[in-house]
Amino acid sequence: MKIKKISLFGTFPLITLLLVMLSSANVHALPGKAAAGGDSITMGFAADCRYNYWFWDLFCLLGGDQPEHSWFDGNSSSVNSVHDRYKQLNSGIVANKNAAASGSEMRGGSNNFATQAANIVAQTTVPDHVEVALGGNDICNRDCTNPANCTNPVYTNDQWRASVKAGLNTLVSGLPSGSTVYLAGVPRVQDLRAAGLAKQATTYRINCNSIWSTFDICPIATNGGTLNGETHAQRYSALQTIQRQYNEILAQEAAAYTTNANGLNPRGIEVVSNYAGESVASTGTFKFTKDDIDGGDCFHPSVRGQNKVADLMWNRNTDK
Amino acid sequence: MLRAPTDRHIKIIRVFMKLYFVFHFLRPFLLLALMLFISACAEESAEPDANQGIGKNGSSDIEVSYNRDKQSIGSIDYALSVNGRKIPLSEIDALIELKLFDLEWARYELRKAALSDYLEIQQDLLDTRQGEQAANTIEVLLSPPVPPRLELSAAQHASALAFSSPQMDQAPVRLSVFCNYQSSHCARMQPIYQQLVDEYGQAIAFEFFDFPQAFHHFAVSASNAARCAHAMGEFEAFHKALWVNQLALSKETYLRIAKQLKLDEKLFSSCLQSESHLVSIQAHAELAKSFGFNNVPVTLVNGLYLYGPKTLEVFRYYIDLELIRLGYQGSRTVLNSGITASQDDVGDSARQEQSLPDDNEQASVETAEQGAGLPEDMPDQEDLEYKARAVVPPVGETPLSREWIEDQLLQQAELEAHFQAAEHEVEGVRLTKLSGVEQSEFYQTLGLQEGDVLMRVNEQWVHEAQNTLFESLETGTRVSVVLVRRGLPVQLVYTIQD
Repeated sequence: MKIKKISLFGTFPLITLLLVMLSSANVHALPGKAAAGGDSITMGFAADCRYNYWFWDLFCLLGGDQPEHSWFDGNSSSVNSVHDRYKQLNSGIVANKNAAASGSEMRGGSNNFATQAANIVAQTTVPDHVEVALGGNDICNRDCTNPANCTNPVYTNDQWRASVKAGLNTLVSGLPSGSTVYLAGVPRVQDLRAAGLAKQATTYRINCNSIWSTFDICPIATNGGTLNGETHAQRYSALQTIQRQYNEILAQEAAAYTTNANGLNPRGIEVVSNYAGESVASTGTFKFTKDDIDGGDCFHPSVRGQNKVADLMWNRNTDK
Repeated sequence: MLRAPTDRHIKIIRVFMKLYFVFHFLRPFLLLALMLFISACAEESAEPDANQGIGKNGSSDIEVSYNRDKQSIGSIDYALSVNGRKIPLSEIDALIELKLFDLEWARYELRKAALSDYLEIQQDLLDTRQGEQAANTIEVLLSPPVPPRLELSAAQHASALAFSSPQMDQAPVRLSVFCNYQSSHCARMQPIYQQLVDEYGQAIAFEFFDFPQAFHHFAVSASNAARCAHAMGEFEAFHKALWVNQLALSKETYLRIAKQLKLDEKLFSSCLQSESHLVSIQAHAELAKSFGFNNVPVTLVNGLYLYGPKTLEVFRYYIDLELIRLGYQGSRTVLNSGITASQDDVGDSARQEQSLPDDNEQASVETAEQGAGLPEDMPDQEDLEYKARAVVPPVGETPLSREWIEDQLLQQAELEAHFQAAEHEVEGVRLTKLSGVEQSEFYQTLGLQEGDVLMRVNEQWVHEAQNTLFESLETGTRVSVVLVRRGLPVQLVYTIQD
């Protein structure tokens, strides 16, 4: 009896302490507010556009963004977004992608990563979880892969790295302690042409080849002929390298910031890269196929593609 | 040998048993109390001694000590005691009034999100009982917070830039907007402001205050140009044109807009050159900072503070509140109308409702009628679902002088030659693509770019067999053009000035 009493006296505080520790660990694992930076992919652009044969098909493209289909916080029942998944863990988690905008680049333009990061840290309640999906336009808006062939070549690795760091510097200095920044991999835009051609082969109501050329959609990846002296095969090969290098830089910088090896993140904001090498499934390695792109512009993720991006982001998300 | 217990023994045993049961029952509570006591002692011992000057700031002689107990007398909460004089918490709160409201707004959004989730669960329950009850009445009672009201003096109002109609003193609700022309957030707000104007007409009036941010390098020059136009009586049109050119703010752009508005070129150029309005722009920026604004846009609805991009519904709510407060008749916007059991997108994830304007419906029918050689296999109903999307809204308007248009259209055949058939074919006709823009004053003034694919002019599709751009500009007073630029849709609106 005496032994039992001692045991009760001893274990009660211990159990309580463990419970407290466990509950506090849960509180810290889940973010309270998530925000996204990104481009038209994050804005769900054209996700449910299916054809481009009739004029009324084109109304879908002219409608632009479809935020309800966003992989990040789309509220449509057809998309299981990252926010939906967070809400299953804690219904109080809020999310916004106010900083994201179609057409954005990591480096160029008026709403690049640095600008979006500044907008994110300026939010009234600063988020403690930020996901960034940029980079596709940095490749698609360029005219050639070899600087010798045009005046608007793809960004060099140093330029890309500088732009990644510019945004991260703002985030790691402006987000609350304990926050996580999660960088999506740059999508494999070099696969666009093959996916589009496969898609248009399935129905007469979709013509990817002609819509790409008419709307100037990522010509560096979609043009099948010679562009600025570079054949499609040459560009495909170069883009394969560039896209991989951009992703490696994202992974390198994530590691440098999260360990503060570069001395730029003294408060220890966690920076995670979705890309972890070519052998690990990520948004940077995913080889999208005909059903993963929409049938309007044959460029943006379809509803299925948005779900795939959400899966890939969620699966390697450490902040949950 | 055991002796039989006496009554006294039995009483003692009963008392002990009672004590045992009471202790047994209370034991967890006693243990908890003990733990809290130990914890409190530990915290207290970890706290530095107040006499050691906690919170000393550098070489300051001010000694600050913190009292863990809430200091309140009567209903007043106190935050500080200075030489015995107690400073009410409200006095400190007043210093951060806007920030506190921003937090209050965030709390409201969180509650909205929670309420939406709660309703979703309740909806399921209600659905299962649907057979038992004829109807369910759900009324959302959650109210948004009341923003602080910031007072602008008559002189400050007078310094603002306002549209000519309605007159500021005639509109019961005044929207004071702090923005700058390079802010993408401000640009995205313009369709919302325009919709408010369309809905409320003479009931609301806008006034603009410049608040250039340090990282918006062209914002000051754009504000200066707008003020030059204001001084020459053409603020509203110039202001709207600047939003269209938000990514191309330059002296050339300002001059081009001024030309279309028939502003005196010499005077306008001189005004741009002298930067004579910089002091006034700076004064507005100082005013914004004096209120505690850090970023744009900020909109004051009769002084009620609203920070950041807000939805149309939010503005309606506060405008209606003001109209009711001032005794105007009208229905009140229910801000919580977005909360439904099926809608899980609330809180920060505010979304634009995708609705179908009537003109799109008509246009769709129109197209079907106009299309030549339509294949027999028409799209089914399922295919038509996504056509219900509204076309992207314009962010501003570009003024064009009719005289200039007439002059330009003298070379219409040459201008038409800039449109070339593109590869993509729709309903048997090819779309057309614009080229040679850099050599064309006409297309540059229209704000068109190399490679733009014009899709619609007013309600008509544009293709190799039909382009109503020139006719519309020649005869219309307001022309809408929807185009695709590098894969993304853009809507431009031209207002023709006689």
